[in-house]
Amino acid sequence: MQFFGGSDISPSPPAPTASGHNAHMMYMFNRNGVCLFYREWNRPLRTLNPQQDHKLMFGLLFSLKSLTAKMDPTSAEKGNLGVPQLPGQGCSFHSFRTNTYKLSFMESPSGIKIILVTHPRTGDLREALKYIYNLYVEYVAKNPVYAPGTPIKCELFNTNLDQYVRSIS
Amino acid sequence: MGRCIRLVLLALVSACLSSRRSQSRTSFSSDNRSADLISAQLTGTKLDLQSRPMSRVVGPRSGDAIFASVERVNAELFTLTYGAIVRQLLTDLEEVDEVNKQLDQMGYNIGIRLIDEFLAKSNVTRCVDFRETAEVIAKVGFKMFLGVTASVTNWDADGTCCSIVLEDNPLVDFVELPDTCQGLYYCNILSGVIRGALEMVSMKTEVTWLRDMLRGDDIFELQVKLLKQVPEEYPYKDDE
Repeated sequence: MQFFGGSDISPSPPAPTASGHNAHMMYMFNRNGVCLFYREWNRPLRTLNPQQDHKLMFGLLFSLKSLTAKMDPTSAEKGNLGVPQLPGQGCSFHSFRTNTYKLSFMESPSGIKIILVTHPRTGDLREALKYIYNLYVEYVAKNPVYAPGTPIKCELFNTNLDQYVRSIS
Repeated sequence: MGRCIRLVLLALVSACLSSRRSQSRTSFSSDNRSADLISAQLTGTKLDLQSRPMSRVVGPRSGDAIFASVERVNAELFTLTYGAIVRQLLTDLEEVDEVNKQLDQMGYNIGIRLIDEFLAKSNVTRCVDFRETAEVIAKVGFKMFLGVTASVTNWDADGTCCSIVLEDNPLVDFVELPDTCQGLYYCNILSGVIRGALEMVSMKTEVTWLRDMLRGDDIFELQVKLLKQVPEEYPYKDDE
């Protein structure tokens, strides 16, 4: 974790990289916490080993979802924090932004979570995440050699994903 | 041999699950993005991936709209392939009950993958209760994948059990059950598909056939019974 000194002015965000990729990294999880897919295009700083990193990310999202659902001022339910929820039920957050990156999140009712980390000036990526979900369906779910619930190792999916991510503004 | 058939079925059915009642060949529809991707792969051309407008929020699509936009196969090819699979299973396994179980298992394997395609293409949000789920399966799901519309009837008192009625079933064109296979549920793959798909959206169900046209009834009726809803739990045991 890096701490910036007591200054109020946040550092300027890093410029988009010369490699042309607009995203930093992407994760995909299923409902059991298995990291189905991880890809990084531009990640200068790594603080944890991959397993811990995936667990941390999954735990973060799980807690954030739970928290946002419980803090919902429009919902009539009076459940306690930490009570398990059905995926897709209640409200779900879709992105958060810091001064150095933006994290966009999408969860399907079948429990597939897609996380995309990009530079902070990116717009709303919900459509992009839906498109990536479509790519997942076409190249992974329909692939008879792929066993559901295991990490994704499909070349076609990787190529098409790279191609698409390059075009996101 | 059995495993080979499972793979063939999965590949075939998962790649071309939608069927249409006509004599025409497979048609690619160019306003569907995934069809674009596939046809670009096949022809080796570079696809121009202009991103779609980012701020537009799209509501759920109707079964007809999706059915019209998705790529389809010749219905006869689909029917005959399914028939060949059932025939081969009967030869391999010989016991009609075993074949029923195997068909259900194959359907389950298809269902757990099909659910993602369904969710991606139809844009439905989480259904509020089981009634809505059954309606969505009958109106959007069956229409999108088989090209037929089903209806939902016979709700029980607490809304956990219903019947999906199919008047038209593309799987059973040209089929007559011989006397040796009287216990066979020919379309048992459909019950597996529904069970598998619903399990992936955290609903444990039991799906059985009440009426079957191949056994002399006038219509196909599937009973779908919700056993329980399984909410999501934090999968890791400790805070490591």
